[in-house]
Amino acid sequence: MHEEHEEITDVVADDVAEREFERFVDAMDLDVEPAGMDEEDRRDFASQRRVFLRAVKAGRLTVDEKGQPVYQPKTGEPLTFREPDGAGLMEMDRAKEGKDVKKAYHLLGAMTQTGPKRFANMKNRDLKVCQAILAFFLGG
Amino acid sequence: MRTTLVRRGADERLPPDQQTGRQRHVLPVVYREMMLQICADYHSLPDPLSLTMSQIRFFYDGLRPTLQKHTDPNSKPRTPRVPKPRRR
Repeated sequence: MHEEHEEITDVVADDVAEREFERFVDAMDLDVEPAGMDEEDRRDFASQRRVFLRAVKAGRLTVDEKGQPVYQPKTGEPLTFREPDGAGLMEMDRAKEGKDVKKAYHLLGAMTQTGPKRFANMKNRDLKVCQAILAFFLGG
Repeated sequence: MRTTLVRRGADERLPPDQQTGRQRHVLPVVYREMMLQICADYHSLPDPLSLTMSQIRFFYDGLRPTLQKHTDPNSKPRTPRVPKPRRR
């Protein structure tokens, strides 16, 4: 399988990216204290955080004034990730029990006010970042 | 998922399904229960569909002490008060 690779040059400094991450976590009231995590949670969290920071450093992900992540995928409009609400959580029920990927797409669609299709058709490079953002909420 | 639910008088994580081993303490299950609980217990709430996850947690956390008290297996069941017969 051929996948396009492009040179990634950082446009945002490390410490700025870290601050953006902290701002996102604070605004969304996410519990990211390692003390409350088991070994597996800690590993997953570290990997999601890495994906988040890499996207910020590459300039593809920003955090707006409300603390919401705004991601610019390779194609299409930018996606603003709002904190999931009751309606978004109920959207997940549209997918059958056990269909976890579909449930995730429904929730992502509700969070970004787009729809699950947007994520079902997304390239892996972009989907990885969106899933990392979602994972912070799923783990909280 | 680190947010806990109240079970048997304490904050607990749901155990995995005994038959399939599938994790049950996941966001849809936990937040569905929290949302239904706050809808049942608060006299008035903002539109539940518009409540954010942190707001759902806020309202549920307010119910924790009461839920813990009422689900505690060691607590004595309250005997209903029998009304005194009225004098005629």
